[in-house]
Amino acid sequence: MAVCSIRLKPAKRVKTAKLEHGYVYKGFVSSLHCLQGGLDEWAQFTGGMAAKRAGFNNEKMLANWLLRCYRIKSMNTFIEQLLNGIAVGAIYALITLGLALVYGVLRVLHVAHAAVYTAGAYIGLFAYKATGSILIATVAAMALCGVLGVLMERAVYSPLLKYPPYVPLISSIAMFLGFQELFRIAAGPYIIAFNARLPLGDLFIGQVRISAPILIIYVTSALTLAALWLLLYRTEIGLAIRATSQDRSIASTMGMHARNLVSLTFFIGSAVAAIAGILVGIHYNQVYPTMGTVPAYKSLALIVVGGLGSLPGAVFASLLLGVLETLLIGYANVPLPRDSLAFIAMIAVLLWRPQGLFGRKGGR
Amino acid sequence: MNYLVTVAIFIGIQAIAANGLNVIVGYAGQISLGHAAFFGIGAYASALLTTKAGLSFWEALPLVLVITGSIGLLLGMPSLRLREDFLAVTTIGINFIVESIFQYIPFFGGALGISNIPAVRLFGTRLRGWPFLGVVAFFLALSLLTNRKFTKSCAGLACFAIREEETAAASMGVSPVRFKLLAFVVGTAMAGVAGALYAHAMRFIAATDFGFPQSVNFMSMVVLGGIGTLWGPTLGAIILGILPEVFRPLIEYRMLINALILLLMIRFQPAGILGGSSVLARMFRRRPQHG
Repeated sequence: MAVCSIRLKPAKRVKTAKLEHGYVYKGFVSSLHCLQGGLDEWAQFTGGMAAKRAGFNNEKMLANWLLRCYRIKSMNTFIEQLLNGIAVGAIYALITLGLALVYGVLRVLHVAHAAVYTAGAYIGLFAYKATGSILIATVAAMALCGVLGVLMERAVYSPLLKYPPYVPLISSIAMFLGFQELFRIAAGPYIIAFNARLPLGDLFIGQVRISAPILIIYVTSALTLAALWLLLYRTEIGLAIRATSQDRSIASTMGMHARNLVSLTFFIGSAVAAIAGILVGIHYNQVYPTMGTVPAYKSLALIVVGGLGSLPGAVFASLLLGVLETLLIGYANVPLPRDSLAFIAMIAVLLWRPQGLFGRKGGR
Repeated sequence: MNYLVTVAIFIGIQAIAANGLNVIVGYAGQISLGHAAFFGIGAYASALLTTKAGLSFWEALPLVLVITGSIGLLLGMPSLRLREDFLAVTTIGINFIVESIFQYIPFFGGALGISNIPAVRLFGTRLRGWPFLGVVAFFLALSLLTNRKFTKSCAGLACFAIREEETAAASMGVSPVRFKLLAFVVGTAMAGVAGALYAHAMRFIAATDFGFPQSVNFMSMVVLGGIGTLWGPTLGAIILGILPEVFRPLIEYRMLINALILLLMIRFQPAGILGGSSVLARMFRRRPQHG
């Protein structure tokens, strides 16, 4: 008695399986189509004989087993997707935090922040190729990007503060485009692989796999966020930076050197962007001149959603977007590209709360 | 010669769109970095009306004006609620969303865009080359005339008042809602006309023509020429349109040069070439007579 036959199409690499006759599985078959991968175990059950050998005496038993298998598998996929989403969100958070910090002290929408991030990826890549140490590469990228950020601030933003906000914004866009071209001319228009040997291996929790790059993202971003929090909320310099971002002129009259604090903020934000650049380079194993385009505008949307200048808001919005994007793309069939999602979310949030999720009403 | 005419046509089209942007940014002081979206809406509206509904360019044009103007009215709404920085980011967002709608919804041709858009005809003859340049020049003159009228009218003065100090203007009885939206409608309608001309000049359009870089391009023209001046955006369009031709040997560095010019301009002359406080304007201004 053929209990059930599962026909696999080898050409399609075990992606879609079709259960022939067997009304029990009707509803079940359609849900199989959303199950991506993980059907390898099924491959053994190509005929009733195999099912019998495995100890399935009737259709009901097989159905139950398949259902359980499917549930575990989809649960695991879900957890993996979620972890992926948090990793993506953590990277967004690292980029967006720098932007929020800079916006806080200078009220400038720093589009060129994404150029700093791209520079970080390139410097990290070349330093890693030269030295073979990811740690030295990261430190070098942080230092150089920090200096680049301060240069941008000193040479362009600070002299333009007396003009309406669109002036620094446009200069920032011009810088961003210019740097992108510079990267293209200097390093070539192609994708360069970032093959870093990581000090970690893949981690398995039960059947859930966390790949080494994602693990690195978790560890690094958690450490960076913790360090930033300590710096901003537990030291005097952090207090001074926060004071400057609340009201620059009053902070100056209280004896804080606002000019240096602004530069310091740019240094910190840019160094964090460099970390993000390296992490993205390792995660996707590619570094290319236009890798900053999407983060440039998406992170603007994120600081707006979080409430302009609000640091917890920026982190929260980033993590939320990372998870939402990954899950929506993984599960719902969204007709729009992933990258416009951030802007749709932004406009929805703005219509509901014009000051952003964590923004204070009335405060600038 | 033909080639130069083509270059001139595109400069003219971009100048019309830049003039529209000038109404929004220069006159009403509302920052918009999504102008290419309206340029695109105009282009797609005209392309669809002529290819799918079978209208001629001239029949479609009023509809295009109404469509882009009303979408401009709708998308101008955020400017009523949002402050400068929020508005800038929102308009960028609108640009990205509109571009992805064009790109991903099959009705708009998807990634393939729309092809076989008919050329503009007048009295039964197809306009190409010089005659089409004439049409573009006509619309450019119309947009300049509109802008001139606008700045001299009550509405224009109201917009200036809102640009300078919104609260004060509102307390004097100038409704920010009405005039901001008016500026948006006028500005986006001009972008719509420019888009329609672009669609019929190219005869093929795709979503990527109307992305954020194009918005930056329009903004660069306005900034370069002089924000809020009558001739500034046109001058900016001419300069930015001719530069790539002049720098053709340096094609590899073209974008870099463009970015550099924009950066230097905004860093050292934020008012633009024709702006009130620019070197050029100061040189030619008659000294006020004291006495």
